Amino acid sequence: MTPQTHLLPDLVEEMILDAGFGQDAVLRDALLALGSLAKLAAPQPGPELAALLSRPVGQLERRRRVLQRRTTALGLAIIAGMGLGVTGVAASSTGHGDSTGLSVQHLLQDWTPSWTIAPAAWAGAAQEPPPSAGPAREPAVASAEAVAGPAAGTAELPVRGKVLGTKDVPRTENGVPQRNAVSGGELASGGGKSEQTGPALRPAPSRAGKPR
Amino acid sequence: MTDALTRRDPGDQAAGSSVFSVVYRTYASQVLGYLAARGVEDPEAAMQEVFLSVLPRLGTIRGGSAGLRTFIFSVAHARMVDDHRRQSRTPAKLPFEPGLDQREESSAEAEALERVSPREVLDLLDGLPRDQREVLALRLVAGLTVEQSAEAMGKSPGAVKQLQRRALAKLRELSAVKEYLRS
Repeated sequence: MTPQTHLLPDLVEEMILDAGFGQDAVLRDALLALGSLAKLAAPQPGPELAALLSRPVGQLERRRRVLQRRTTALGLAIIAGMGLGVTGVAASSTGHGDSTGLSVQHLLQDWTPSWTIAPAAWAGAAQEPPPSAGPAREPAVASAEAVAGPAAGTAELPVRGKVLGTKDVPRTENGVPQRNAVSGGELASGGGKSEQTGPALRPAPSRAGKPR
Repeated sequence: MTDALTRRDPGDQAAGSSVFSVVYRTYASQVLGYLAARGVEDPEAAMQEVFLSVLPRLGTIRGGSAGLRTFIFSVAHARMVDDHRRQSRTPAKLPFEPGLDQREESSAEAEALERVSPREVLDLLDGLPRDQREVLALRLVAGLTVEQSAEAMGKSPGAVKQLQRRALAKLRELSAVKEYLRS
């Protein structure tokens, strides 16, 4: 039983009068028959609806509150994660250059070539700048300079090669022989090859001999 | 809160029936009748879906009994629109099941039903444009006021009144033709 079913005849009369049709019995019957559809027998609730109907309201509200809290916490966690990700990427991108430079310097710190080059050849090379020397070689030279120390300039490369020969440098500050000294011979052969390629490729042995 | 909840029988409370059950028993018949009047393919299944959607959100409903009624039939209206869209893609019209009709009335409505069968009512409604049929179903079956019907349909009260007048005029015309053919 629904509250407004008692009002159906009155409602029908009101609607008919509002439309200006007075006492139209046929229309009235049609409207009453239509309104009586509100009294169809409701079927038994299905399994899902029956489970919902039998569930206490308090339990449902509690579950809804838990779900809302869980959703809020999840959202905050996602936002925090995104923030951390962005800051992490930003931090790693800015720190990469410095850390890479440092690590390369550490790697190059222990290595010195075992070969020496005649000062005359270097002097000629210094006077004639290699036409094909690209910017990619500049960091290698700079690194070599950094290893040689502040007093070693580009023009002093032959001197540096002499000073940092196999006799002096393969030992560390503690006097322990360096493992790179063993590979010095191999590097020397590599250096010979690069010398044949021309002056532009002269710094190549130092790059090929970098310990990996 | 709502008329459905405030007019509960003491026996219901003694039996420990939940608020959900009261709301379902109060509105299920109307929702079912509304969906049947609107030509939903499977009114019973659609009615259960309406309550599955409405009941968990009872705590969020405002406006007392009027608000609850408007909310329920807004959901039913949306469900009906979905069903009509689906039917337009795969038209499979089911006839009105006589077994569904278990109305028991001994008033003017029963007398009217003796003269107009449910099938005839639905046939009459079929002759109306969709919006006019919707207004009649919401006003007479769902028991909504003009304002509530306007809210459920997303129209202004003035537009609903106009649709209602036109619907009655069309229904009167169709009923007269049907009565003429019967006699």
